Amino acid sequence: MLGLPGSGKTTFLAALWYVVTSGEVSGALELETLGPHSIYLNGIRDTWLVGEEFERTSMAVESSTMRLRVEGHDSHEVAIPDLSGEHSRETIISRVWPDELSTLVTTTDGVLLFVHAEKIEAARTIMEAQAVLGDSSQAGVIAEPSWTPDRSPTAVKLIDLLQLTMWTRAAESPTRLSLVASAWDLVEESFSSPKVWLAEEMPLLDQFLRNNPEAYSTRLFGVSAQGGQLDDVRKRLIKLNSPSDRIRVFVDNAPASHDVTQPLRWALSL
Amino acid sequence: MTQLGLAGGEFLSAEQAELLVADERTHVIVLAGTQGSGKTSLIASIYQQFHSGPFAGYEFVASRTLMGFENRAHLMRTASKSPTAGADRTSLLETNRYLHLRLSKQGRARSLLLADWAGETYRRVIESREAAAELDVLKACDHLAILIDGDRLVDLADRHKARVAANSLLRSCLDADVMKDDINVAIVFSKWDLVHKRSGNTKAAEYSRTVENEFSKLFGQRVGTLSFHRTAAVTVSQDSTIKDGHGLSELLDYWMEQDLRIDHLTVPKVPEEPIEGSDAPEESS
Repeated sequence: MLGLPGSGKTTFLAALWYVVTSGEVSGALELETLGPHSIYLNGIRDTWLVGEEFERTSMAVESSTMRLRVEGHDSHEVAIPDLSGEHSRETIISRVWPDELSTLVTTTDGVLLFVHAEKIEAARTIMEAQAVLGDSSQAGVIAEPSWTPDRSPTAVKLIDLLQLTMWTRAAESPTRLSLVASAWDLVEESFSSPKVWLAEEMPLLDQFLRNNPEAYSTRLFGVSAQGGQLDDVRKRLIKLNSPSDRIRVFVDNAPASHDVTQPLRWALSL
Repeated sequence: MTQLGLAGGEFLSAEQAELLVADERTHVIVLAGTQGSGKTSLIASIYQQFHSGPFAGYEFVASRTLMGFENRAHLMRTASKSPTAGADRTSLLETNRYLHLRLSKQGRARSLLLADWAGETYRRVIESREAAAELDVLKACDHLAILIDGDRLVDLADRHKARVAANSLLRSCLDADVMKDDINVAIVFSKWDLVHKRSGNTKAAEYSRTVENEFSKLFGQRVGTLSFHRTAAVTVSQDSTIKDGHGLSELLDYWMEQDLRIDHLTVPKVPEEPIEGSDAPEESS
């Protein structure tokens, strides 16, 4: 799982762990056997259940292994490292990948790339902004001329990560990529589908994904793993008899489902 | 730590560029002009257009120098909070360094390698064709774009100096006899929003046509193609009817389109020498 800090990876993993262990969602992946390390997963699941905020994922790579299956099909061992968004951020800034990340990128079967659906830093020019605001100057604004890679728009950072991944892997066949727009509940009134959201919010990334089919086979998902803002979750949603009913997953123009395992199933061809 | 090297850095070295040319269909574009003529803004603005979607019929595919483009584009953006937009004049302007942009049109992808040319090198080449002969980048380039600062065309005295400098540069490059026989040359009148806006704009526009006639007469037969473009990479006033990116779609299409001509060339088969003792000459495969 890749993504910048605050992109929703841990919330997704927590919701995923609940769904695969509870068996509440028909058709979703189910846990067959647990790997040796469940403390981390249980911890984040419990935080998710009560609607509390997650602490920032540490820079240590938390890797969880589980044996999953879809009802009626063979099971598969799945390892899901929960990588801190700081790894991705540091990679973009320093142009250097830690060796343990490079190994993961090279050997992974699929990629889940997370982006917070509402927190997109756009590449808008000053003229475009002035056209919207009707303001011909930004007098009084402090000039900050220095540039660093960290100041790049969100689309550029994500493309950078995907390019670095594809050039590191140099795979012979396309890598399965699930692009997860997290906190989808915050934008679902504004966009009819994740596809429309990507084309309007990050046109450069949209072009990149469409024009690199030999590198990535991509599916877009809008995911609300929390179900809403945390206040609302604590007041209302945790009262639901089935916590998985909080979860909503949007694919194309299909009605929302509660199956948060869909992005994982696509990425791993399950 | 794993070094990422080629992937997504700020520029490609000459060696890295050579590897790329060997690997994929690539056009090498050299932009030349005096300091402040708008080379960096032009590059930044072309890149910026793709942030809004496909541009000039082309779509973004990839860039091995994504951060190099970002470095040049940041002053055009609100993130920089700069009161006026304009690419950083202190950004990299060195010979033998390239920016890379891969674009696709109708399913066919092509790469551009863009070299922005230092002001000091520009001055040396104007003065001496020997200086031009030393530039490896000229031997490799498919397109030479010479920028004439539109802001200087408005000044009745300075416009002559701007014209003469561009003339001398092109003459020096051609006389050095190091460029490809079918070199494509674009004369780019930059900052056209300033020409359009000011009271002397009629004279400046007329003067640009005088420049066109002169260059066509002097150099038209010595190059593969000679074209003229009026661009405004970054406009400085909302009052202008000319918007950011004016003229850039035509320029980009000119740079990319030549490839269509190459695709349609057929190389005639040359029969091999007959092998001694055989009954008939063998055809080449």
